[in-house]
Amino acid sequence: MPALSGRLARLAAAAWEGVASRRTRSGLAALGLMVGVAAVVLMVAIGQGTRNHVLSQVTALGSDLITVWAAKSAPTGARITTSKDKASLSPADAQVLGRMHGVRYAVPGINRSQRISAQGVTTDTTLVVAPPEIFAVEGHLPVEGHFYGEREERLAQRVAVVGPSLRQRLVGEASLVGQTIEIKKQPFLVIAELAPKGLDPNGTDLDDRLYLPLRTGLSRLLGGRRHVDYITVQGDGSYSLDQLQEEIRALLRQRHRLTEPGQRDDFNIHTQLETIQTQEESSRLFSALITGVAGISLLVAGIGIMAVMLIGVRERTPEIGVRRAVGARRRDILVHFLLEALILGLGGGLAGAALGLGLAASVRRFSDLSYPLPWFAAGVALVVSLSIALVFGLWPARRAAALTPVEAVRDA
Amino acid sequence: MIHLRGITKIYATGKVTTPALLGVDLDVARGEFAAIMGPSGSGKSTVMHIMGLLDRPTDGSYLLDGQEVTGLSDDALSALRNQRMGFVFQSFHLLSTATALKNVLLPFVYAPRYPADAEERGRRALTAVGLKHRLHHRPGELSGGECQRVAVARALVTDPEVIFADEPTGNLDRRATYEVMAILQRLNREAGKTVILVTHDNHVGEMCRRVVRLVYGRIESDTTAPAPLDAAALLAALPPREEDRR
Repeated sequence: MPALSGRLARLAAAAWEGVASRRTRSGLAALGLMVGVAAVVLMVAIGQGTRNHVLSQVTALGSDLITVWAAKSAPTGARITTSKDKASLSPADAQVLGRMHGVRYAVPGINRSQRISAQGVTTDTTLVVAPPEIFAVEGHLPVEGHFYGEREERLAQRVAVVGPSLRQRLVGEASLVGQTIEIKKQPFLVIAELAPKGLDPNGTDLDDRLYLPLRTGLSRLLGGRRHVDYITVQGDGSYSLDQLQEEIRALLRQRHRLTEPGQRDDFNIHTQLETIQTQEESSRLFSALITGVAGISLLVAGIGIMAVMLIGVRERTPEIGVRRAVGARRRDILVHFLLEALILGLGGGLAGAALGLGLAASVRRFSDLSYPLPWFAAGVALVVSLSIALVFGLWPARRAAALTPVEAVRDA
Repeated sequence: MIHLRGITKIYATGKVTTPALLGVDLDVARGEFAAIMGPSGSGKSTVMHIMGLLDRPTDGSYLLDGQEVTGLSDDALSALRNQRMGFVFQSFHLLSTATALKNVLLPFVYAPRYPADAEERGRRALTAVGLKHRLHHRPGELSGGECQRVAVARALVTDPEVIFADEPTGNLDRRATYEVMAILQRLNREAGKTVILVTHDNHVGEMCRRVVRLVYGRIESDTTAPAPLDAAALLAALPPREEDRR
């Protein structure tokens, strides 16, 4: 029916005039939706950015890693705890694990807080005492120099690899490669600097570290200690992490003579996957919270639209009456006011989406979060704001349509 | 054209029922110029609202050109109002945010088909009421008399058979009253429009050929004046306005 579609276009024009001629009121009615939609879009973007950030940190640590800790209780998160009194893991355990089917590397290591000095500056840092494979397992690359290898390890040479944060604290932008660092009054030659990795999910600076070969550390700094704090295992992909974890557990129990089923492990196995899962869980919770808050704010915005429209219908009763008198049918009035609500919803939604995208773009620019602009979320929020306008506009529109011409037109 | 038989209207608000019309029989022929008069509460506006299909009678029969309209759907009544009737109200009821021309074009929004020459017709209607120079003024920029003339233009833009005017001069001064009445008389005389107006102003009644008086919801008298007053002549006899003298 072309006549009908022409009529709809005329009603839309009339609705547009109704909205456009009441700028302040329409603006206020749409403001709530705008703020709600902008908040949703921004929060989706930041949520995505946070998730990406966490994932990149976890990936930086190696998401396919299994860490066996010499401890009776699991470390919280990925925090590195030294356990001096636990002598359960040895480099020999690492060797055996390294020969397991499905394992690419099994790297023993010790982490400890240590006072060091270089060029007259003294500071505390985390000492990572581990064989050369640690660089492959943790995915490190040198920005300068070469990592230590088998030779330095075997000869227990006094060489070290420095992280960028530590270097920054010691000598600023200058290079430490080729310089010496003093640890417990012994000089260590810095042979390489690591590429930056940033913070781990717990906020620990992965770049504030100094790496030494395992034998160097054990014999020269730790008084000939024979055990290690942890063994980091990287699979070769032929087993799932869960399977590999169970294989490792069985093998270590056997080696540690924990043959009775009632005996507890003297080690703990932790995977990066667990960290990811924990983080995913908390980001899901965060998203649910945001969605809830956004829902409430959009609901409030909808009520705002309804209130403004109800006042409008009351105030415009004579206008409705004269429209009815000159031939508007009930459904013309209904459609007219629904269209006004939709225009408010569209205006508020579009303004909110634009504002949200703009804020998301500037947050991305001025923070270290990275995320794609949430166009999809903006689209969804726009559709939601249209639906809200429609739902909350329905009652006022029905009230307008229910007026009989004579009660609308009667002079007060 | 209009045949009312036994039209009754009873307003029920809660337990109280207020009778407004108690059996009105009234015929209006095409081309008549009729005033419905009476004290307030006599039902004069109610009878006009019923004739104008703005309200439904509680009981009775209304034949419009031989068609019984009391049982018609709301949509059908809307279509009849749109195509065959024009309305003028005491307080003008113009859209305050729209120009005079936009106001005049309002009935076309609800027409089955938007005429291609709508704007031209709107201009002609405004020209006919002497507001050719006010096309793009908004009601706030017009005098009361001019507003009512815009309303008259809106009532005649669809070229209806009958114009209903409810106290059209109730808010106007003497000069504006004559202006509006002169236009209505001319439309009746030259274009053959049927005009039915409600008024409590006896002077306005004197300008109408036929006067129907209602009291307490019943027709008390129905008289036809052989020579009603000519509003245009009355207007011309008024002393010139301040701005005209300057």
